[in-house]
Amino acid sequence: MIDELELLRKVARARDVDGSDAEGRARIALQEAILAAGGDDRRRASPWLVAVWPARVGIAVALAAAVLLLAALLRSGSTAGPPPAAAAVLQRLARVAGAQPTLEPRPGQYLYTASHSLTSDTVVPAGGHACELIYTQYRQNWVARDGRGLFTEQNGPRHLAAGAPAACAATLRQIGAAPETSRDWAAPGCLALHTVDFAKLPRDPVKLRARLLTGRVEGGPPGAAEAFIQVADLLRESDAPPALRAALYRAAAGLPAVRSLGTIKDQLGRSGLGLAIDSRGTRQELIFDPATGGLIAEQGIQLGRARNGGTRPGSVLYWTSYDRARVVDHLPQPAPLPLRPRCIQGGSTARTVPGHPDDAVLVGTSFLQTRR
Amino acid sequence: MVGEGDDSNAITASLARPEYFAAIFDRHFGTVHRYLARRVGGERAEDLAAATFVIAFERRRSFSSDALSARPWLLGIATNLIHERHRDDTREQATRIRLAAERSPGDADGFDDKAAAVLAEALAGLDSKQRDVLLLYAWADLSYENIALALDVPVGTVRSRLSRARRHVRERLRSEQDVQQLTQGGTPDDR
Repeated sequence: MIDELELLRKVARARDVDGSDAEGRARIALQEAILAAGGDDRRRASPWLVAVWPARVGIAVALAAAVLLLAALLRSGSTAGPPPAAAAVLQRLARVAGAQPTLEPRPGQYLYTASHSLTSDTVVPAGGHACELIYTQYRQNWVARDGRGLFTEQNGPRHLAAGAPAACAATLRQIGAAPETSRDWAAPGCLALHTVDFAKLPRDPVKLRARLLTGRVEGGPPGAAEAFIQVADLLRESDAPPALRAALYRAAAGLPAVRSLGTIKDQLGRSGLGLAIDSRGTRQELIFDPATGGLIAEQGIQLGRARNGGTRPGSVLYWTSYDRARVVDHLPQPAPLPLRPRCIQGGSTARTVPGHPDDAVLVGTSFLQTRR
Repeated sequence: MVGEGDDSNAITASLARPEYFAAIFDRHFGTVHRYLARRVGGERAEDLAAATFVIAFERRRSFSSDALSARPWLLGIATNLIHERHRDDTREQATRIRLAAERSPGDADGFDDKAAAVLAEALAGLDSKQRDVLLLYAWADLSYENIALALDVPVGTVRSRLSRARRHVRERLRSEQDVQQLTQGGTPDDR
């Protein structure tokens, strides 16, 4: 027996196309519609809705909510896109961030950013073991459009990282564990507001996501985890314009395996909306201010036991919390030495400040200066 | 895992919590996009698939809570969109089927450009309502009952339209023997 149906199906199979790009665009379109209906926040059933709903629907809603939350959890490791909760959070952040004022400093102004972090240095004494030293750091940056500016660091006492070889105790004694403070002024051209040309990044979230996923923004390996971190790279301590920030959030809303953590606190105790992605044994967490859409913190959490056995699952491996960036008119202290020659292609030499061994002025190198 | 039987609950929940509608997207986007791509080509399918889910979300109150699966409802919206936005669908379809055949001439799937051309002509000659029923049946794998839900017509109407559509296509393909040869990789001219 024939079948014309069989022929139709064979023709159809030959016309099938890869729908992954289409899915990304459609998901974003639907998320926009959901957000327009109030799906991202907790403004729930409007009065008319409550009035027309029979009780049995209310029960169904509760059951469905439980089932769907479970489904979202089950899907979190899939490649189908982020669960609804994470996507909704990112779409909400996109709306808020896109409505914020620009942070671009005018000539004579500076972009001011500040961060608190747990950071580390690795020290390798001659003939000895590599020693990882951890300490807290408060860092402030003032960067002008022409690349001049100042950055200061206040480092807390150094400690040995968990699992450090016993010999590292001697290394720590040798270099000293005491807190340190430093100030570095920079001549024009020595610093940069951003390392990526924002003007060349697409505002179309699907195109932007594709570029992030294929490592065509900052380089690095392709993949969702790297793309997620690159979103943070472009947001932190930068003058990224609001439209780009919004596009970055919308691009991240189409990344697979991004999870919503709900409202969580950073290491300074500040609350924000948490999103996470797991990669190479670490849960990368980003925390956002729901009022501004700004990145307020990021941290890495150990997922399994570390290779050296030093850190337990659930340990905070690193963290950084950001103060709100703003544009200011002045540096807090004038530079103690002339800020010249300017840096060419970022190449710089540090000149120490007499009487202040921890301070320096960064200027252009003589080598590069002669080539100018 | 949550199956299609949960669509009704998900859509009901989305009335109060709109973000739950995303579960409907996750479950059915692939099916809807594939159906549309088969009918209007991949490029147009992208826009229509996105519009299908946005429209479905906006009209979610009209979804019958008696229907367990949203698939027929979504495919019905998609079918209506084809007619609203692509009135020249029939002519395009004939072209696209030929292109599909050109993409895979005499391949292992068992049809060639001649078979595809005959089929395209047959589809182009169908009444649009008959074509919708036939393609929902053959390309979206809907049952008679689900086609009735998708197009909001009685099941009896689906049966009669499908029967007429199949007879028309069969006649255009000239004979059962011709079709058998076509599906086996030959052509009527091989006889």
